[in-house]
Amino acid sequence: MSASLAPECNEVKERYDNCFLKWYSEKFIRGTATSDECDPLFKQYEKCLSKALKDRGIDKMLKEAREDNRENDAEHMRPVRHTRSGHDHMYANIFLETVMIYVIRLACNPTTAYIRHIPADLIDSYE
Amino acid sequence: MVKFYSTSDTYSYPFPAVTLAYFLRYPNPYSTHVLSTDTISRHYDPETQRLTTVRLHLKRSKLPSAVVKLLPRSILGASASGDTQTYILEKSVVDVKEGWMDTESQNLEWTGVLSVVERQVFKRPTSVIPDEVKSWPNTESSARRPSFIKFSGLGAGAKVEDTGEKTEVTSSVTLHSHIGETWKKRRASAEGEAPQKPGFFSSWGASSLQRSIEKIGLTRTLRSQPNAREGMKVVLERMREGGLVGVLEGMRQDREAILAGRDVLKTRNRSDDGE
Repeated sequence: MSASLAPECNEVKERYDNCFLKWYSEKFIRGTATSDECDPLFKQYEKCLSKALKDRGIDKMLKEAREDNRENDAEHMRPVRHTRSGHDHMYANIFLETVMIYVIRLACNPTTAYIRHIPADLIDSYE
Repeated sequence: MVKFYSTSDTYSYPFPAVTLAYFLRYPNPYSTHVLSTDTISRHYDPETQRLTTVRLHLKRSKLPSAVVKLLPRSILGASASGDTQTYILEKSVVDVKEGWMDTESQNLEWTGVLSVVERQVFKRPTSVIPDEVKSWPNTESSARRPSFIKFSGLGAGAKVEDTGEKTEVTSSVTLHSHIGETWKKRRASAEGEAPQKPGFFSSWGASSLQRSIEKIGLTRTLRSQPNAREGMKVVLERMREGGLVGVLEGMRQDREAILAGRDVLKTRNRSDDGE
């Protein structure tokens, strides 16, 4: 079985993992599971683990990760604003990326290769 | 500013075996960098028969030297040599009735430098599901389907039946570097502090840096994909040959070898030769 990040939780983790594997292979994948029978063992494992996560400061990191995910989701749904502040850099960068791909394409094309010299102020104007 | 990589593959094992192998994939001879795996939460919904699992993996990793060179020392901190540990958060949902497993893994640290989100979707091929099963939402289809893992508990007789059934898998990786954006935010919040490297943070510098880091990330991802696939295959092979007991025994040996710092792949090949 895989090790726990907290050695002190290995024993209770192994007991839970064994229970889970038995339940998963005998009931869950056969579609006959009516409840999570290993929940009492999970609670014990969770108790040990959450203390370990807290001691190591990982609980905070996990919480932040979940908050970040929510924030990012909200950010992607927001319309592009036309003021120059904060997250607008992201949109500016995406736009710049598109422009650059276009310019590089042109530069690689033998008939338009004269664009190879990319003017510096084209880049600066989006910051 | 996102790099995206996508691939699909087929495992020559039935869907239930593949989902089990996914939960049991660490440790394997190709994952000696995975130090630990913990289940953070697990929820089974008896109505939908869906199982939702959140796990936390700790992986030993080395920042590519190219990235170490690109980043200022103030960002790298203690990892200036490139040696670091990364927590990976993995969420999975298994729907045994509909025959799919949806998984998503992402790094928890260094997300400002590079966020890597890996998604894998496993599916029981739709072609093998008879029409009457598809049109019957409440059927216990999977339970009655002929090909199944025959596990007799954790007993030695547990084996995976080879019925020629396959499982489709689609993997995708999204890489996104927020470098520069984070620094700008940090700089704005800590006004008065002198920036470490003035000029380095200009938008052009940041966006080209983002692109470089994403490119390095993509190269690494492409390099690690075959190993991840091989790891799954080893676990599935063990399951076919020795059932659950075979997998657990293999895991025990891998774990011992990892703790002892031995190269598991070499040990494994040697024992294979001897057989």
